Order: sequence, then structure tokens, then C-alpha cells
Amino acid sequence: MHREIKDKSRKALLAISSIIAIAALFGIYYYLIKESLPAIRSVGAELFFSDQWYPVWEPAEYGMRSLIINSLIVTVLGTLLVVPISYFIAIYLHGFASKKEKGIIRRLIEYLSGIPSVIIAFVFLTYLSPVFPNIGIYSPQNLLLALIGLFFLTIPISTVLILESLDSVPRELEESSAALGALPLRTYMKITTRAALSGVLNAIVLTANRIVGETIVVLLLGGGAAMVPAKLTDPMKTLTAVIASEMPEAAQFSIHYSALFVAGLVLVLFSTTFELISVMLLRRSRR
Amino acid sequence: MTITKTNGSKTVENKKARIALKILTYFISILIVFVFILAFLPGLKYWSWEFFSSFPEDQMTGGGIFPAILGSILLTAVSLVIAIPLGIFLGIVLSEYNLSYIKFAVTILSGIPSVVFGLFGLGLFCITMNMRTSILAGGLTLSLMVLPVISSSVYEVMRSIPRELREAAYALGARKSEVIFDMLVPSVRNSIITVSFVSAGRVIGETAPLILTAAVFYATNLPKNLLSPVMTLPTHIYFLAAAYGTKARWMAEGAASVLILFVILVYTIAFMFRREKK
Repeated sequence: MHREIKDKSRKALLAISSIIAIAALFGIYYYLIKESLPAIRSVGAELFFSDQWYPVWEPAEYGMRSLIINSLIVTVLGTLLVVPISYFIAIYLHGFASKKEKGIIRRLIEYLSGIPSVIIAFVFLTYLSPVFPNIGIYSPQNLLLALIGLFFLTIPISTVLILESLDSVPRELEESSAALGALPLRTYMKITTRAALSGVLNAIVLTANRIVGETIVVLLLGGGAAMVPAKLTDPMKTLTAVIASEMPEAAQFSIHYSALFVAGLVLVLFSTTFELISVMLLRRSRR
Repeated sequence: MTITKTNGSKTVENKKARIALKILTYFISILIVFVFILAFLPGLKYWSWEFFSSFPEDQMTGGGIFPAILGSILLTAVSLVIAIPLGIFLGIVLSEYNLSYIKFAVTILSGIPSVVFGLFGLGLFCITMNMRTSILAGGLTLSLMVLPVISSSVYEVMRSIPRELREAAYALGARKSEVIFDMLVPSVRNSIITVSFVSAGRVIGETAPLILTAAVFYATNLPKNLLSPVMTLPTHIYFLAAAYGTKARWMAEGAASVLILFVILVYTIAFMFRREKK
């Protein structure tokens, strides 16, 4: 009887925790949509097709197209900046580094991946941002500075993910390539990378997702202009930055409040798309 | 003759590539360490008993960061008390029961940006459930945020257990729940501890969701109960950097070094348990 009760209660615990996870997922979607509706109803398509984001003006305007475009610009440029460099570091660690060297650098990278984004943002705001006006850049916080911050924030995680997928390729494949006369670099870049392609692509997608959702670095380093930057040294603001900077001041249940939930909803759609691609890639790599 | 010649130049090329990659790796590693040092060292000179034990004073130009340290510890504790048991159970469900739609839900949840969890927590916990800006609202929000992280790590850990172990237990007549809780979980205890500490490191540095749900810039009193707002280390650094400029920079530097110390401590403990396993 005692065994029976123990069995039942443990199963109940497992069931409850899975229900909470499912409820949380649907809850977040449901809640974001529900709170977005007032803004969608009263502002309409202008939310997504206008660049005019003046939520506290009279009359207020809630066009977030430039914010969406900025989020995408930051994501694309950030990923393009981080991925190639972390790929070559991963190739070095995978194929050329000695075992000890690899262990030390990997441990270092794992430690640094834990450094909070607010600290990285603070360092660049304090030490790099003041340099910009001295070299003829009018805005001390800008797209370039945000990209530099994001680079340092995401390079550890991107490198570790790519390294793991390279390391999972069977050794025999590399050996047969070498036996056919291919030199190490060629083997790693052509054979190993191709065999680990799904894993490498997955690392890219997860890095992009990390960047699109990053808030504090973009908020403190981006400069905060709600317009599309024409060049790298222009200030800009993304969806995440708008939510974190304006939500504390937005009146409860106002259109502004609701419009910020729309911004959150757009972000969730981005991240869900990225995660779906990642799930598909991992499924393919398992085959 | 020609073959040795090409081979020779190829070897040189390979050596060059190797050196180029090595330089790149070391260059980037040193840059990252440099950023780390810039974040950690300047704050060390402000460490004193007063800095750790008193409230900020005179427009953030004096005093200490005691309320922020306390707030960070409280929030981390509240969120982990909720998230670790739930995350472990959920991870077990993912690995031991074949429920692909729950795995799918967890994967999607794990990619949602932290600031969106903040929005959700603000709307649901702070406003609809009337918790206002509080430790409880922030702790609940953070626990939702790390739940997928913990459970997918526990899932990976459980999956690494050899199948023979399960089969041996079943052959002795154990029930599924007994196999899981009396056999599998104890065998990966250290890895689960590692997962918990890594998630603590993740929670303690989180800023954006707390700006929305739990943190205030300046609290004159210590929190009385779970429904009080708090100051935390990461939000304190954020507010100082965003609004206070050079006069308060020393305090942000000090707080940054304390926060880094916490993160290093937590990760070191996490990795210690991982090494013991081997």
C-alpha cells in the first residue's frame, strides 16, 4: 500500500510539472495576443507599416516598422559578425589545438558565457562609447557599438555550439579524407563541416535567436533612436529595447501598453520561427 | 618530383593556415579576457565592509549596495526554489515518457526572449494577479524563464544514462516511478546539481525581466515580505549606467565586480560537481 501511494504521488508530481510547462507556453501566447488586441484594433495596420513611433506625443503614433527592421538589421549583422569568427576558432580547437590547449580555452569560454549582458554593456558604455565623439562619430551610442557588445556577448555560446557539432563527427571520416591526401584544414572545412552541417546551421540559428532577444546591450549601447540607421554609426532602437525602456512608464492598459505587447508578440514570432528551424535541423542531423 | 614539390608547398600552406587560426583564436580569447578584466578589476578597490553593508547615499555618490546584494540573493532563491524541482520533474518527463509535444513546447519556450517573459510577468503577476512590482512577481517570472533551460539540461543528463541500467531495474520488478526516482535520479545527482548551479548563474545576471517585474531604482527600506519591491545588482548597474553618468560610475563598477564574483562562484561550484562525476 505504501508503495502504491509513493508511486501515485510521484506520477502526480511529474504530471503537474508537465502541465505547468504546457500551460506556460500557451499562457504566454494567449496573454500576449490578448493584451495586443486593443492596439491592433485601434491602430490597425499602421502598427506594422508606419515608421512613426511617438507613443507619448499628442496625438500619439505607434508605427513600429523601423523597430522591427532594426531588430532584423542587428540580428543579421550580429550573426554575420560572430559566426565566421567563432567557426574558425571552433575549427582551430577541433583540429589543431592540443588537448590541453583545447581544454583550457573551452573552460575559459564556458566561464565567460556566463557574464551577464548588463556587465558587457556597462564596460563598452564606459570605455568605448566616449571614444566615438573624439574620432568624429556624432552619436556616442550607435549600431556599431551595439554590434561590438553583441559580438562579445554571443561569441562564447556560438563557438561552443559549433565546436560541439564538429566534435560529434566520426573520426573515421576525417581519417579517410586524410588517407586520400587531403590536408587537415581542407578536411575540416570540407569534410567535417559538411558532415556537421545541420549542427553548424543550428548553432547559427540559435545565435541569431540570442541576438534578436537581447535587450540590455542593445538598449544601453544602441543609442535609442526609433528610426532605421543609414550607416553603422547611426543610433537605433530595437523591439526589445523599446519594451524594456518604455514599459515601466506606460500607463496600465493604455494603447501604448498594448502596443508594447504587440512588440513582444512580434519578438515571440521571430524566436518561435528560429526555434522551429532549429528543431527541423536537429531532426535532420539525427537521421 | 612534381608530387613532392606540390606536397612541400601544400605543407607550407597548411602550416600557414594553422598559424593564422591560432593567432585568431588567441587574439579573440585575449580580447574577451581583457573585457572581463575591465569589468572586474576597477570595482575591486571599492570593496569594503561599508560598501557591502550600507544603503546608497547622496545621489549614488556614497554609501554601499547592500540592498541590491540582498535583493539579488532573494530573487535568485525564490525563482530557483520554484524552478529547480519543476525543471527536474519536467526533464524526467521529457526523457522517460515519450511525449514529443511537451518536448516541443519546452524547446519553443527556451527560445523566447527574456524581456518577453518580463512582459508576461508584468501583465499576469504584477497587474492581473495584483502582486505589483515585487520579489514574488519577479521570482515567478524568472522561474518560468529558466524552467526550459533546467528541464532540457536534465533531459540531456537523463538521456546519457545507459539503457542497461533501466532494464536491470525493471528486471528486478521495479515500477517505472521507482526506476526513475530510486535508480536513475540518484545516479546522475551530481550532474543535476551542476545544472542547478548553472541556472543560478543564469538567473542572477538577468536584467530585463526584472526591470519590468521586480526592481526599483532606489528602495529606502529593506523588503518586508515577498510582495515588496527590491533593488538587485544587475538592475542597479543598468539604472546607474543609463541615468547617472560619471558621478555614480564608481558604484556601478563596484556592483559589477560583486556581480561577477557571484557568477564566478556559482559557475565554479557547478563545474566542480561536473568534474567529480568523471
